Amino acid sequence: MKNFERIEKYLFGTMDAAEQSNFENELATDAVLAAEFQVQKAEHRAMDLLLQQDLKSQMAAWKSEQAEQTTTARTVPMMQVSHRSNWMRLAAAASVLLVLGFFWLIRPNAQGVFDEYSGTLRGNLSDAPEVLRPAEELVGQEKYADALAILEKINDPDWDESVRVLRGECQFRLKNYAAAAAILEPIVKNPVGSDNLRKAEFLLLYTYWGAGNSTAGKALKEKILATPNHPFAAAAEEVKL
Amino acid sequence: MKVVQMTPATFVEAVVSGDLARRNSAFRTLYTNRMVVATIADWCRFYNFTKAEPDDILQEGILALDRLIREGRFRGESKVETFLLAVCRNLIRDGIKKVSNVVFKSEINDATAAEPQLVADQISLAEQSEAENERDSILNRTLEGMGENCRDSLKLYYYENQSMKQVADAREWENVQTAKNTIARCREKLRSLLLENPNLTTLLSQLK
Repeated sequence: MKNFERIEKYLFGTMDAAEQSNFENELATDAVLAAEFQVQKAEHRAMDLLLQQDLKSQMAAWKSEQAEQTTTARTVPMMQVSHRSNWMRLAAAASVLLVLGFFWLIRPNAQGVFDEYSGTLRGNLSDAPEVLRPAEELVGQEKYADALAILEKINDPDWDESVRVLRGECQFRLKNYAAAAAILEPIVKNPVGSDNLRKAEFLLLYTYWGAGNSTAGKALKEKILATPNHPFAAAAEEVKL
Repeated sequence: MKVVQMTPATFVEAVVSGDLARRNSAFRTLYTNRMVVATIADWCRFYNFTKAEPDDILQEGILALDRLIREGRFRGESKVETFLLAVCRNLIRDGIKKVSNVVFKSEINDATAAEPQLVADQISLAEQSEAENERDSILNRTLEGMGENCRDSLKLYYYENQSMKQVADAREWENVQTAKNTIARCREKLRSLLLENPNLTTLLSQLK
C-alpha cells in the first residue's frame, strides 16, 4: 500500500490497533514517511476547517433568522395597539396613500432594484478570487461589455461556474435578457456550488423580471422564498411580476 | 420554555450520519435551544465576562462538541445540552478563545451527569497555541485560493470519511470515478499550494 493511502487510513482512524502501532513505529524511524505525514496531516486540518466554516456559516444564518423573527414578533403587537386610535388610523391611511403615490411615480424595475443588492451579490472586491478580480473591477465600474470580453477568455475549471454567474450578471446589466437567461438557467438546473446557485437564482429572477417573463419569474420567486435562509429572499420579495 | 429533547445517541447519529442536512438540523436544535442560550448569557453576567459575546461562546462550544463527536470521543454519559453547557462554562471561566482539545479529567457518572457545573469540573479545555492559530490562518488563506468546486468536494470527502460513493451522490455526479478524479485533482492542488508556503512548513515542524 502506498504511503498516501496508509497515512489517510491512519488519519481517518480506520487502522486496527496492530496496524496503528506498526505505523507509529515506522513514523518514528522513517524520515520520508514522517515528512509526508506532516503535510497530509495539514491537508486534513484544512479539510476540517472547511467543515467548521460550513457549520459557522450555518450558525450565522440561524442567528439572523432568529433576529428577524424577534423583530417581526415585536412589530405586530405595536401595530395592533396603533389601530385603536382613529387619528392614528387616518394618519396611517394617509401615509399609505402617500407611499402608494410615491411608488406609482417611481415604479420599481429590475435594473433599479438590482442596484440595491449588487453589493451583496459580489461582496468585497478584495475577497474575489484573483482570476475574477479584473472582471469584477470592470463590473464595479459598470463596464459590462469589457468585463464580458475578459470573462470569455478565462479557462479555469475551478472557477468555471463563478465565471458563468458573472457573465450572466453582465448580460443582465446590458439588458441582454435572453443571453443572461441562457447562461444562468443551466446553472440553476445543474449547480456545482451552493453559493453560485443562490446567486444565479437571484440573477435569473431579475432577468425574468427585466424580460417581463412572469410565468418563469413567479415560479422562481416562489422557489427562492421557499428556500430556508436564502441570502436573496429579501431581493426576491421586491420582484413585481 | 420549550426544551427540545434529543438523546445523545440520536444527536451523535445525526452528526456523523453522512447527511449534511441532518447534521445541520441537529446542530440547529442545539444552537436555538433557549435554555442553553439563556444559561450561557447568565454565566457571562455572573463571571463578568466581556471578552466575547455569549453567542461567540455558544458557537465555539458547538465547534468543540462537533469535533469531539466526529473523533468518537463524546460518550453520551450526559445530555448533549448539558455537555455543551459544561464546555461553554469552562470557556467563560478560563477565558479560552479557541479550543484545541477537550480533556476528560474523570469519568462522568450518573451522580454528576445532569448538572452542567459538575460536568464542567470533570473536563478541561486545552486552548489552541499561537502556532496552531497561525497554522489555521495560513490554511484558511490557502483554502481561499481554491475553487468553490474543490472546497465543496474536499469538505464532503472529509465529512463522508473517504466514501467516494457518498461524495458522488451528494454532488449528484453520475459515477464514483468522477468523485475520485475530482478529489485527487483537488488534493493535488491543495498540497501544491501548501508546499508553496515556506512559513507553513516551518510551523508544521514546530507543531510535530
